[in-house]
Amino acid sequence: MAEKVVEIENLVKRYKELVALDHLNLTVEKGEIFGLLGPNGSGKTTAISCILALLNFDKGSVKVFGEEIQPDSYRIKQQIGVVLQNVAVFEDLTVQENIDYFCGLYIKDKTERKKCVEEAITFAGLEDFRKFLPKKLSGGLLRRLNIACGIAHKPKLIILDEPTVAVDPQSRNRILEGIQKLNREGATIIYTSHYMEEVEQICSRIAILDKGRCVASGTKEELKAMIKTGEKIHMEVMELTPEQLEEIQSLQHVYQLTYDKGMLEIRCSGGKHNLVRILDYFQQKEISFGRVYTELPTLNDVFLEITGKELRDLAEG
Amino acid sequence: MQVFKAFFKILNKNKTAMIVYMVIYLALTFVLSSNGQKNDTSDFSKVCMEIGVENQDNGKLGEALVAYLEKENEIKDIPKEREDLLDAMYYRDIQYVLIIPEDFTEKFLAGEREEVLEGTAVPGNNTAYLAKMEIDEFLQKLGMYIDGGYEPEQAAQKTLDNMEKESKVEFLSVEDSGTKPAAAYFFDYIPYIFLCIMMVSLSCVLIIFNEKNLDARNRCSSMSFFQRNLQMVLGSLGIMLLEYGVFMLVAWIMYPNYMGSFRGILSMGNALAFMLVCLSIAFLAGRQAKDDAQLNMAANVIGLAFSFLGGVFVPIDLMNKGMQKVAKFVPSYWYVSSNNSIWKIKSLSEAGDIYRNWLIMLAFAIAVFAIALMMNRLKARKS
Ligand SMILES: Nc1ncnc2c1ncn2[C@@H]1O[C@H](COP(=O)(O)OP(=O)(O)OP(=O)(O)O)[C@@H](O)[C@H]1O
Ligand SMILES: [Mg+2]
Repeated sequence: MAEKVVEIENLVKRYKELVALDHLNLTVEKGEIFGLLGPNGSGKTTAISCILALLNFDKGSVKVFGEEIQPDSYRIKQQIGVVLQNVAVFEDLTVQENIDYFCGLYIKDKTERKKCVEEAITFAGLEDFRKFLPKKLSGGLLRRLNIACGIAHKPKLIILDEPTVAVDPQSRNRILEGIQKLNREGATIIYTSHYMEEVEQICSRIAILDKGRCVASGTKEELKAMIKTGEKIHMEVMELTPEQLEEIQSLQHVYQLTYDKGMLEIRCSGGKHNLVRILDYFQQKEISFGRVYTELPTLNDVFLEITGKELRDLAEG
Repeated sequence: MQVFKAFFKILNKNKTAMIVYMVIYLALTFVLSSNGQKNDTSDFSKVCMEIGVENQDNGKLGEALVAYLEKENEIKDIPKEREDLLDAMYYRDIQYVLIIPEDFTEKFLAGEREEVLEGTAVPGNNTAYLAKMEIDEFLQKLGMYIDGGYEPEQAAQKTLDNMEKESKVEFLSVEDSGTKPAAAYFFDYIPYIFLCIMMVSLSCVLIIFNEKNLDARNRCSSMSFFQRNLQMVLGSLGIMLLEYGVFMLVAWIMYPNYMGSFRGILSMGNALAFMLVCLSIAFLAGRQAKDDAQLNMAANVIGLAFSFLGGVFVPIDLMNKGMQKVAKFVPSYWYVSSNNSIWKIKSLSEAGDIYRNWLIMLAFAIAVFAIALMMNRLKARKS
C-alpha cells in the first residue's frame, strides 16, 4: 500500500451557523496528483486551510506525512509548498526578490537558495521578467509568479488552490504541464479547481466536493463508472410528435430524453450499439435529421447525477 | 533574516513619502527658527492694538487707565450702533472693547477690584488677549499704590511711571538671559514629524505584511512564529533608529554648538523618548489599519490631535483649564514640557523633571505596545 501523505478524517469546520466542511474524509497518497473538484463555496479552500493549519477546525483530524498538523509543525511545513487561491506576493519587490523571499523562509543556505530561485524562474518561464514588479505583469504571468514563489524550495507536497483562475488558455496549459512535471520529479500534488476539464486532464485521483462533503472519489474512470450515463447522443431533428418521443424513450438502454428547440438529447446507460439502434428507428419512421454526435460522460455528468445540479453552471454563475 | 531584509527593501521602495516629509519639515523649521528669533526680542516691546474705549467714569482712575493704554495703543471710540461695532470688530478695526462704568473709581477705591470693567476681545485673536493682560497689570499696580495710602491722582501717576520703567527693565533682562536658541526650534515640532514619518514608513510596511493573503503564506512556511515576529520587531527598531538618526544627524550638522552642549544631549534624549512613543503608535496602526487610506487618516488625526493637544503648535498656557488637563494624557505634552525647559535650565542638575517626563513617555509607549499585542491576540482568537 502506498504511503499516505495527507489523511483527513471526519473533518468538521463551521463558520458560525454555516457548516463549511461536513465530516469530510480524504486520503492523498504519495506520488499522485489529487484533484479536489467542487463548485464555488463547496469548501475546497477551507479544506486546504485545515491541511495547512491556517484554520482551527471543530472536529476530526488532519494528518500530514503521518503526523497531526499544528501551527508549529515547522518540520512538516518545510516539506509543503503552497500556492493559495489569491495571489500573495509583495507589490514592492521584483519577481526575483519575491521568489527569493519565499524560498528564503525555507532555505537558509545562500548558494543553495540561489540555485532554487533560478530553477523556479526557469520553471515558470519568467526569465525575461526578473526585474519586473508584480503590477507590471499580465494576469497569467502573475499567476506563474505566484506558483514559482510556492514551489521554489522543492517541497515534497505541493498544494495548489485554483492556480489557473482568470488565466488565458496558453498560460493555463503551461501551468498544467508544469504541475505534471513537478509530479514526475517526485512531488505529490493536491490540486483544487472548479474546471472539470483541467482536473480530468491532469489528476490521477479526484474527490468531488459539494457543501463540504465528499460526494464521490476515485479515478476519473471509476467516477464515470459510478453513474448510469454511459453515452449521450445529440441529434438535430426538426419535428417530433409526443408519440415518437415516447417510442424513442422505450428503446433499449435509453433512460432519459430531452427535446428542446430542435435538439434531441438521449442519455443511454452503458451498452453496445445504442447509436445504431436509434438511427435504425429514425430510418424506419422516415424522420429526417441533421447533425448527429455522441459524447462520453464528463465529470459534470457525474456531479449532475450525484447532486442533481450542474457543476458548470454553478461554477461560472 | 528574510523578513528583516524584506522590511528594508519595501521601505526603500516607499521612501519618497518619507523624504518629502523630511524636506518639508527641515525647510519649515528653518523658516520658523529665523522668524522666531526676531519675534523673540520684539515680543516684549508692546504690540500696538486698536482698542475701543468708552469711559463713563466720574472719577480720575478711568482717565488714568485710558492714558496708560494710549501710550502703546490706538484708542478709538466705540460705534453707537451695535451692528457697526460688530463690523468694526469683524474687520479688526477694533480688537478689544473696553467699557469703564461710571462708578469705576468709586468701586475701585472701595476695594472692589474684580470685574469692575467690561472688556471683550475679538474671538480667536491672541493679541487682543494681551490687552486684557495689560489692563490687569495696570489695575494691580494701581491697587497696590492706593492700598499703600496714595491719593488716587498720585497713585495713577506713580503707576504710569512705574509701568514705563518696568517694561524697559524687562526688555533688558531678556537680552541678558539669552534667547531661545535656533536649535530649540528644530526640536519644537518634532512630535508631529516623527509621528507622521513613522506612520508613512513603519506602518506602511507592517500593513503589507499583515495583508491577509501574504500573512497566510508566511504562516504556511517553516519559519517559526517567534522568528518571524522577532525579525519584525528588529525591523521596526531598525526603521526607527534610521529615521531618528537622520534627524539627529541633520541637527548636528546645522547646530553643532548646541548639539555638543548638555542641552543638545537632553534634546536628543527627549526626541528618542518621543520616538519610542511614535514607534508604538505606528506599530498599533500598522497592525490595525486595513489599507493605506485608513492609515493616512489615522496618521493625520493622531498627528494633529497630539500636536494640538500636546501644545506643539499652540502654547499650552493659551488653552483653557479643561484642555490643559486633557493635554496631560497626550504624550506630546510631556515632550513639549521637557523641550521648553531644556533651553532654560543652567545645568544637568536641574534636569530632574525632564527625566521624569521621559519615563512618562516610556510608559505611554509600553502601554500602547501592550494594547497592540492584546488586539493581535483577540484577532488571532477570532480566526
Ligand atoms: N472566513 C469566513 N467566514 C465565514 N464564512 C466563510 C469564510 N470563509 C469561507 N466561508 C464560507 O465557507 C464556505 C466554503 O468556502 P470555501 O472558500 O472553502 O469554498 P471554495 O470551494 O474554496 O470556493 P471557491 O471556488 O469560490 O474558492 C462558503 O460558503 C463560504 O461562504
Ligand atoms: Mg476557494
